[in-house]
Amino acid sequence: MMKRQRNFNRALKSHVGRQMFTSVPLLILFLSIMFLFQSAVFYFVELPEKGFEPLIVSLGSALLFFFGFLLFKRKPHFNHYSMLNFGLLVLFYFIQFYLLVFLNIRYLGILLLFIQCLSGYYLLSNRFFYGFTFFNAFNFFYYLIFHEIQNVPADSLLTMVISILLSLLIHMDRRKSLITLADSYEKQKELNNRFRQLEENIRQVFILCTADFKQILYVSSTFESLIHVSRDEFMSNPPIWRQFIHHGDRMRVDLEMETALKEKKPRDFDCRIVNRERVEWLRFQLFPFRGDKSKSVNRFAVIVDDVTGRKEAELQLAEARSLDGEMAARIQKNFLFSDFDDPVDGIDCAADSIPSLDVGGDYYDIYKFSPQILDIIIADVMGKGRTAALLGAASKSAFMKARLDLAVKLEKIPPIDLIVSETSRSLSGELMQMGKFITLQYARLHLEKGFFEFVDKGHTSILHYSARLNCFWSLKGWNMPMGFNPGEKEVTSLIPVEEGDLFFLYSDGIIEAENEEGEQFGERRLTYLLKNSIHLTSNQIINKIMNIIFHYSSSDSFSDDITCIALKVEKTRMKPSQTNLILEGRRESLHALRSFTDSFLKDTFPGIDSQSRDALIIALNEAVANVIEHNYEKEPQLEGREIYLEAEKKGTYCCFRLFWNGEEFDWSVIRAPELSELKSGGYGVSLMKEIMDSVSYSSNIDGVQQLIMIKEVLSVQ
Amino acid sequence: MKAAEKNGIRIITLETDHLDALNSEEIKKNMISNSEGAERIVLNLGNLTFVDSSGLGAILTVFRHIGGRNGKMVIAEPRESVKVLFKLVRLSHMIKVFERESEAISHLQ
Repeated sequence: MMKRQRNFNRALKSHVGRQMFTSVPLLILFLSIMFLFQSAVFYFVELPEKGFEPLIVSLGSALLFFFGFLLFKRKPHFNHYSMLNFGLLVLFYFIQFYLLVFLNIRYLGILLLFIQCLSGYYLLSNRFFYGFTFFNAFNFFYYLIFHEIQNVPADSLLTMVISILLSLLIHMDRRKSLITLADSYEKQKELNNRFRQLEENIRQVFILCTADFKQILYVSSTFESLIHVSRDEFMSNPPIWRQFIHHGDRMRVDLEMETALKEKKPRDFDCRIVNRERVEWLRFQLFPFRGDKSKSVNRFAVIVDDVTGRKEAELQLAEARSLDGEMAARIQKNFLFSDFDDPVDGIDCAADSIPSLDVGGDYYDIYKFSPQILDIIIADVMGKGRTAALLGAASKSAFMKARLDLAVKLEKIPPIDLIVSETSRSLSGELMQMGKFITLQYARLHLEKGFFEFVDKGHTSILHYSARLNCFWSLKGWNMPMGFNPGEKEVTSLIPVEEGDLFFLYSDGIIEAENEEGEQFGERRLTYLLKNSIHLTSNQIINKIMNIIFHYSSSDSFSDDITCIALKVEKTRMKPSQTNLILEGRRESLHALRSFTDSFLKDTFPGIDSQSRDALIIALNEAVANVIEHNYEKEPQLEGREIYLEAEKKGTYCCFRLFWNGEEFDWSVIRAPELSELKSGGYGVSLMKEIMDSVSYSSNIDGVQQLIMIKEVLSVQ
Repeated sequence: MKAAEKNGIRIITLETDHLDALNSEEIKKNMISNSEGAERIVLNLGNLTFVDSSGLGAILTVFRHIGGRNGKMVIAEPRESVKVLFKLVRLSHMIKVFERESEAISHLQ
């Protein structure tokens, strides 16, 4: 019987393993079968001696347990199966106990031992095992002491001995298994402990969650140091962490999570969180994997790292870099652009420059040679940024050196064309090698002579407001940008200065500033703007223009550097005294022009030598002939229109200004032809340039053209 | 305009006092027609008080025209005011200029 039980036990054990009685219905069925089997034994063995009573109890119990099995069969996932199993075993035990004690079927004691084993092995609880052991011991002692002392039947004694041996065996086994259990528990504990140490001491936070991020399966304890939310709170309500995300990053984080969810590939991203009113940077690393024997990705392991320190260092570095840029901009502002701490009497001067990047290729320089002479440089180095700024600095220092060298060499204030050609000579080679060039104007306001002189090297035109004529002239010079042709002869243009005149020098960034429609600001707009601002001081004019350009241009920063200089002539020593002539725009007028010029020169410059006089007459004749040929003869209806000539003596200089209405005409196009190639005419402009000290051509926005010719008459007596 | 023949040398004397954009075309044509058939020509500018670049162009056209048929042309007796222009354009590099007409004739002979 016992052997069969043990065999059965072993068979069962090997068949279903340790999982055997985790299912309550299965245990009930098993116990029911035990009763059935017992009933059969009772029927054959005990029926003659003990009657029907044990059989009825056994069969009844079998039926009871079978109905119990049917009842519990529908509820396979009964949670507290261990307590229920214990109850069932207690029931089984006391039924057997009843049979053993009151119906005196002594070999059933073996079943009590069996229950003892079951409780220990399969319910995995020491309490249950020792409870049953206690009952068993009580049971055996009862037999031994009170009933069997006089008449001891062999079977009872045998049962008792086996019981005690089994009890001891089981106890030994239990001890061993307990030790293993304790051992494995210790190991588990150690493992847990190590993991705990790991997770507590690693700065990063580990999170294990389902692939939809809706359920958090595990989160390490350091989590609370990241966000001011307890682990439990986070576990029960995972979306709670979203409210800590910096609102600027929320959309991005959602997108990142969505992408990770969709792609199911490892993914990194950074985001800012606001934790205890501090902004911190977190780096998320998502690792998708298949957990719990799942066929598809259903888990995400997430490592969260606080990267605030690193990010701050990066930001500091970036800041340091921009600080470097700021420093460069400051150096440029302070050293490349001069301030006018030394004002010139009678001149109201202001300048400003806004680079498109931190630093730009534009620069200006204002240098006071004497109380009457103010030199101005405005330059635009091709390109932008630091290379351009460095080139600007280099050219500025080259200008200063040229100025000084020439002043020492000539022992007087050097003429501007020499300064420019000296600088061009020293810079052009390097510029040409680098493939760079500089457009610039070197201007000089000479109050004593009453002239504004300039050398224009391919720069934008200078706007000259003539107070007497109340209009703006767009002045252009004759030369190419520095870095094109080092041997080029620099040509000075002279413009008579009168009281109230304004000279506005600017870089192309102003007229090329674009609005949202891509329309450029243009010289016309600038001219109108200046015309309306003429009553303001230079400083106010500059500020106004900078503001308007800033609002006009569509972007936050300009696409090009913006530089402008305003020079307002408040007073001059000379009062203007012109002699005027109005000519009809036809060739017959040339004779009248010649006699006018002749008598003007004889009157105002009595000591003039005849050669100079004749040359001046030729120059004037050429100029007017050119105007007639290029403007009035092309359009028959224009023929005969008037040409105004203004002749003026300005110190030792004689100035002639011609005004006429007509098309803009590019005088610089006419190159001096070789004499051998000379046909008729065509030599006029080069003759004029050769005879005069300065020939400058300009036009105003109303279509009036102006030609200024100036010559110093040296032989005046 | 006056044209005279002396020892096989044609002397063309301009009678106008100016040679400028107004009359240079007309005078150029006259000069060319007056120089026809002559190999050696003296252009007397004694009457001219003013020549401009178009006038100079006219003179050069005539010079080139004569040079084109292997003729020779010199200029004689320019006034000071005209010499200013000649000096400016360095005309003497191309055309010989003489103070007196007799010098020009003896040069051509």
